[in-house]
Amino acid sequence: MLELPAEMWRRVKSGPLWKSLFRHGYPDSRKNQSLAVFTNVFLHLHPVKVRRHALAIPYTWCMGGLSFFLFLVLTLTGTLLMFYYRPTTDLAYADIKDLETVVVFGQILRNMHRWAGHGMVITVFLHMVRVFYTGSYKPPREFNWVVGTLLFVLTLVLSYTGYLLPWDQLAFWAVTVGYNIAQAAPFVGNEFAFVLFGGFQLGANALLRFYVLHVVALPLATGFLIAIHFWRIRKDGGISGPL
Amino acid sequence: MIRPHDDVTTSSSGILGRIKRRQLLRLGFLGGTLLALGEMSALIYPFMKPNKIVGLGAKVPVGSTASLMAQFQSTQDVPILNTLGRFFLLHPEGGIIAAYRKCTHLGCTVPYVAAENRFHCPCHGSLYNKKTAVVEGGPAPKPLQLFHIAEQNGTLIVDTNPLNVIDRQKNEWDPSVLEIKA
Repeated sequence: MLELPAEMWRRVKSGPLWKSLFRHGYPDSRKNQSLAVFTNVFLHLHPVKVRRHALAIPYTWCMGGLSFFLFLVLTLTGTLLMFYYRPTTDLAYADIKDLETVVVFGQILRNMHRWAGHGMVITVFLHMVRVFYTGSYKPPREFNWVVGTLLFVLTLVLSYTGYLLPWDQLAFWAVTVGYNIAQAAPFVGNEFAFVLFGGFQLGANALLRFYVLHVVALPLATGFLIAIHFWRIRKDGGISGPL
Repeated sequence: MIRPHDDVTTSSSGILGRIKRRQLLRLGFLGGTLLALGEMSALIYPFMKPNKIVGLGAKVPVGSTASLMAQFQSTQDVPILNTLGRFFLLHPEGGIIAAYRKCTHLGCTVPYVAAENRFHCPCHGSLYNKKTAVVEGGPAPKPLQLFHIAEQNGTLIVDTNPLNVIDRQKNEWDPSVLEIKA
């Protein structure tokens, strides 16, 4: 009675469509298990085998993975927020208020974005603390420590640029403090702040620039570095072992 | 694999004699990449630097000396606010000055409070004189900075560039800062 579906399944698996998608058999042998990982574009960044000690949660507290998870949450919720938010000085604040009060699920998406943003700063920081205290920055992982440091800076800059977008008093004055800090840089400070913020004080230019940086330039750079970061973990022999 | 002979050189002297083909290609590729990056930076930097300034930083026309003086006379020297240019026009003895509305303490926007007859910063309570913008109290270390004013065809033009101000260090009225006398 099951012969017909079994025959159909066999045909599907031997057909050109199946073979164009999958290059290995069911992962029940060591070879196919390995192939399942490194023929998959999403899994190939991950080591084929993980050491037993690395699975103990207190070793890492999953802080790197949580940072990446929050990055994905921020990408998804941020993309949805972009459908309603318009980065101009007369519309931005009202759009955020509409998201909070009018748009269906707008409030939870906006708050998820905000809290995940704060959370990512925390988890990335704790991840760096863990890497430092386990000595995981030592050779051969010193290059990945540098990549991680750049990712930490990008996380802070993403947080800072996003801070301005609600265009309320808190955002305006907090970023004004940043403007004054940029101006304090020796020799190039005034020029740098003028070019980056697009004016002598925060205005329409600064809001639009921060928006473009926040939704395009910085996430792209971050995603690029995350890919290198993960690939490099694998190339450096997986997660670091006990000292 | 076919490799070019190492000993074949087209000319024996000069730089061409010493650089091999692959080195030349490598240098060319590297140089081309660096050139492209340099060109992109040379494009992006001036592109990001705004030419058109709205509000603070622009040159703001504020009318003639006579009309401003008439306004000061009718209101008993209440400061004239220009919100977009972020300054107040004030009337000290003998002329007109333009005070940048940024508190010299920590940079808050300073309002004129009519009930107190002076400027009162809402952040930390710095007080400034109504006519001269020198400090009357609070944590501000020096008077409000002044913008330069020029007269063009009978109209006063306030240059609101905050990087080019009259920065008074002493907390007393000094008539030598007057650019428009009336």
